Formats: sequence, structure tokens, C-alpha cells
Amino acid sequence: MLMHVINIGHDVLKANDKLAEKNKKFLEKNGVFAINIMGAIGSGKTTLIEKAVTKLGEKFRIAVIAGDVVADMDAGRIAKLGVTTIPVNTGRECHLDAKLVEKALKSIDLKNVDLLLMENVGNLICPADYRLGEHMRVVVVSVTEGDDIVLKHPVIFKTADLAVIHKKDLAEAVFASAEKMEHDVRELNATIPILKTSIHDSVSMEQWFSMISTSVESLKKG
Amino acid sequence: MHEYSLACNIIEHVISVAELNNAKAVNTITIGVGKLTLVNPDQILFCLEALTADTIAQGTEFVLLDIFPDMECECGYSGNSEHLLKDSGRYMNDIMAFLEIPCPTCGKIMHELGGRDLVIQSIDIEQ
Repeated sequence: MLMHVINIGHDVLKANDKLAEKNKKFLEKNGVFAINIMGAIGSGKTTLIEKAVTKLGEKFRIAVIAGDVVADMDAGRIAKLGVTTIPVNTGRECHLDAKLVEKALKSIDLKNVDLLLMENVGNLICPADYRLGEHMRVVVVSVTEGDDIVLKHPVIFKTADLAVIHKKDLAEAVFASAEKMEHDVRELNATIPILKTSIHDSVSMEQWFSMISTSVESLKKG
Repeated sequence: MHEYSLACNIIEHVISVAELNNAKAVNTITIGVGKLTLVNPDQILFCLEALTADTIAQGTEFVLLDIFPDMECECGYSGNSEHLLKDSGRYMNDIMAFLEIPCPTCGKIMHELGGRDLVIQSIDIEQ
């Protein structure tokens, strides 16, 4: 009998990062700007995507990847707006990963897309560990989740490029403070842009659209 | 709760390396877990044990090692979080603690370098 130690050094999470980098290069080759939209169940991700698709559809050619554990309701809602929508069922998984996105990209005509919106599975924990190949990571959090939700999930706010504190019009009804949430995000991430939004406040919706629009255009300019 | 799929990736990789090396059994699997990885060690251990049943790695010993990220400050100071946290007396399983380590030189909050690892470091096989 021979005993033998084999050094491996294989990082299963970095394997995902590598694939994500490949996805990103592939998207860039096709001139596509990709956004990973993360947030809890019911935070308002799908609604924010619907609004963005409706408004920015005049300006950009948009495709959407809608991640869900089993159902395809979100994809159905977005597809009604007339954009290419790929439902991705993760099965038992709590997040999208680079492999699922690589597969979904094969069914999108990327040459005719400027902006790809990827709606992650509703969850503030697992998506933080997985890059997909995105240029921008957006975390959506609603005041109805309770205003201590930000500090309970520090990693996702540290690694995001934009924080959206949504449903701000409901704050009073649920005894939450959007300002406290904004302060907590700022504590965790000194440079992240923060939007406080509500679909009933058109000024805040314009800020959401313009944040996306500016980012897409900055990629186009190189 | 992605411990199960990560455990699948680990066991798949371990078994393929073990088979390439004509292993009859795998005695030990050593895995490094970054302190900022959102993986629960007890859950991943449970999945790993379940997945090795009826394979050449059945009954293997799993060794999970903590990987403490290095920290760096804009003032130029750098050091490992393990020592920095020990000195500060903070609870080391709290992810927040790693995001709030003040620089011993200038007092600013430092940035972590890495710490999001989940790496199969080595396996000990019988040939």
C-alpha cells in the first residue's frame, strides 16, 4: 500500500470567476453592456427591470435573462414588453452562476443587443459569491424588508456598483427609515452610488434610467 | 445555500484526480475556506460526507482550514487579518469584523485582499 499526498490547489469559486471573465469578454466583443440585478424576494427587481425596459427600449436594444428557482413568471412579465427574454431555472440553486449565463447567452442574438439585464434569484446572500460576466452589479433592497437589512448582508453591498433603496414611499407604513438604510450602505461602501426610489416618484425613476443609460454609453465610448 | 453544488464540484474534482493517480482510497481531503466566503462549514461538511458515500473517498477525513485575507490600507500599511483581529479581540466568525478592521498605523478602515476562496488544497490517497 502506498500513501501519497497530492497538492491540488483548485478553487471551485475561482473556477466560476474565470468563466465569468470569459462571458464578459464575449459580451464586450459583441458590444453588450451587462447588468447583474440582485436583491431579495419581493424587493422590486422585476418591476424595476420592466420600467427600465419600457423607458430605455427607445434608446437601446435590450435583452433580459430572468433567473428563478423553478417558475418562469418573471420572464413572462418582461417578455410581454417585446424584448428577448430568456428564463433561466436554477433548479435547486439560490443564485445565477457563470455557467448558467454562458448557456443562456447562446440563445440570444448578441449582435443585436446593446444592454443585457440579468435578474438574479431573489436572495441577498448567495449571488454575492458569484460573478456572471457583468459590467455592473446592482443591489436592490426595499424599505419593506426592514431598515436593518443592509447591515445583515454586508458582503453584497461591499461588492455592488449601485445600491437601490426601493419602495421609499412605503417607509412610514412599515416603520422603516430609508435614510438609515442609505447611511448603512455608505458605511459599508464609501464610493457606491445610492438611489432612493419609488415607482410613484418619477424623478427617482428617471435617476434609475439615467444611471443605466450613462453606464451603457460609457462602455460604447470605450 | 449553495453548499450542495459547491460540494458536488469539490467531490467531482477530487475523484477525477484520485482516479488519474490510480487511487484505491482517499484518506484525507483538505479544503481551504476563505473567511469572507458565504459558505457554512457545517453544511458543506454534511454535503461532502453524503456525496462521498459509495465512492473511493467513502469515510475520508475532511480537514477544513480557515483562510484569513490580507488587509491593506491606503496609507500603505498591510497585514494579515488573523493577527489584526486577534489583537482587537473581535469574534472571528463574524464577517462584519473583517470589513471593519482599523489600520493600526492611521486608524482608517482597511480593504481586504481576497478571502473569498473555496479551494481544494490537497488529498491524501492510497495507491
